[in-house]
Amino acid sequence: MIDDPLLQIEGVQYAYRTGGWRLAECSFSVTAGGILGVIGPNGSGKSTLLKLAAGILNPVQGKVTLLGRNIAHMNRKEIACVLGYLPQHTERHFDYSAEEVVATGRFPHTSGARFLNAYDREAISKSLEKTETEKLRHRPISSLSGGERQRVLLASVIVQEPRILLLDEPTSGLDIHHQMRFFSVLSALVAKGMAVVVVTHDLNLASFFSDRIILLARGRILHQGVAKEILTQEILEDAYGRGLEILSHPITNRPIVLPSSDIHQEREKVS
Amino acid sequence: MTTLLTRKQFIWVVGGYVVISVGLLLIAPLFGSESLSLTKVVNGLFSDGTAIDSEIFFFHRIPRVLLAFLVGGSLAVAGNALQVVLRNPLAEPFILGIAGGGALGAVIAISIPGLLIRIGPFSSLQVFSLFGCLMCVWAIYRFSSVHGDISMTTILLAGVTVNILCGAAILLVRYLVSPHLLVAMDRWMMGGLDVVGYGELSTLFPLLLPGLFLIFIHGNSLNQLALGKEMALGHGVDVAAVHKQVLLGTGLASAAAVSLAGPIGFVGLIIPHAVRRLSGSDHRIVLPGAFCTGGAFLTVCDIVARTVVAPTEMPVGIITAMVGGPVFLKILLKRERLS
Repeated sequence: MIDDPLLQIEGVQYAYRTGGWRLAECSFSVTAGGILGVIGPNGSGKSTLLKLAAGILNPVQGKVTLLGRNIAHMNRKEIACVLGYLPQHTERHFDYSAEEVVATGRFPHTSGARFLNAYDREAISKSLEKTETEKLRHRPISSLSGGERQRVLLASVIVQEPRILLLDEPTSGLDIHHQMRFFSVLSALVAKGMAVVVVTHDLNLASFFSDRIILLARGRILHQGVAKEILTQEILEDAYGRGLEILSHPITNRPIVLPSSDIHQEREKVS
Repeated sequence: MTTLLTRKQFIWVVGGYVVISVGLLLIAPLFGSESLSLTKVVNGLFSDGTAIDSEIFFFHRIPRVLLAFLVGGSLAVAGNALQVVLRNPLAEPFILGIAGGGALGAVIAISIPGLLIRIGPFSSLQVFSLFGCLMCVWAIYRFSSVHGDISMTTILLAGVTVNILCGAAILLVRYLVSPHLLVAMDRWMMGGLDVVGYGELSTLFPLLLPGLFLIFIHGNSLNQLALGKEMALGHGVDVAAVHKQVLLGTGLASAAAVSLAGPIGFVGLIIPHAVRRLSGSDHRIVLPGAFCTGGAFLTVCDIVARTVVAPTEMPVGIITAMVGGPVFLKILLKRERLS
């Protein structure tokens, strides 16, 4: 069945061993051909939820099912063959070229001495093409701009040939042009049947590109649904507090979130 | 390296390292404080009587050259693996407390005159030193194990702490022993490659081979770890298993090297950097490259140590430190400028 969920999160809870913060019971599913945006204030549990979905953290309760199998019973390679995960923070200890970084994504598909074959090389070229990074392939990763580097890292995840992509704030620190380009690449992948879950702080990008949105706050899922249902004054004020204003995009009719005009008026009064 | 590694490139590059190493291994035994006649060496093989040149060549020079090569290679491989897993370019094998543990064991063994505990070819000094090394590795491993993974921050702190504690214990032993034993202790700590015959050399292998095996099987995983732990997990690497096995491997290989040759510094620190500069950062190349280069470097240092003040010889640790110190400083300064 095409609508069967690729990834299913059922009653998942998490608590850090240091105590204090907990992620309360969360349930949602991810189906092919859509972008699921995960939004919420700082510390609401977005990254934790994504790590649980990727099998990087183990829930204290509940179950994550990936293509019908309990993710806790799968090894990392099996997971990586169908699920790509791009963390919020990556490191660069050696100055690999962009192509070498992308090639690291073939790890789950190779074995033994793990030299790349013709198919692997073609997959690398295609990933570079999809992320518009072919021209950067021989450049050292340290010489790339933030936007270029993020697209190269995305290519290293796409080259795994996953059916689901989990991306943790992939456009943080990028300018609006690079943000749009990044999300355009994601839209093209989704059009070909991939499922994408993307954590973002940018409510307008989430509104513009997401088919569904999950809103987290205070360590639990507050709401999930389409952008118009979630990005409302009442719901966002509950999650983020006051000071936001919701408008409607004149062409797409999707919600746009702006700082409240009250704040501007208060500033004028003070000055 | 900026292009993707192919099998052919791998064979050529690693083959190059091997050919140079073998060449060096062949000529290294010809150097030493005594000048040997090759004819006498060869003739000695076929004569029944004692041929001094042949004896020196086969039972002193060759074992010594092999020991230098194996110790240098192992320390370089261990240093490279630690620099990746600890995400610290200044990491080296002795960061695991091995130098401190090994030295403490050796100092205790030297402080008990007449001590004779032989286990096969292992001397009492080596048994004590090995025990000290392994105890430290075990202690650091235990301190740093957190919920099934190894904490890289803790391992650095624990390593430094264990080395300091061992240093204090060494000072205590030195304070208590008869002064004439201090010379032997100092000489051990400067590092040395004195072996006679192949019995002592064979004591390297029980720990060295499994140690190197545990590191070499993870060449590709080390490439993944260079992009960070979470990225490696996303790419399908069992990071906790790689951390454990690589750290155990470095512990075993370094302990084997230290127990026989003493704490020879800088090889494990500078050689991995040199190899990465020479042939890129793909660890499928860097690991064998570091083994060959580390081995060759220590072999050359040992030749210098044996010949520069002939007929006596200098502890090889002095030579490696004299070369390694400036290189270490250069790395530090480069990092300073980058940051």
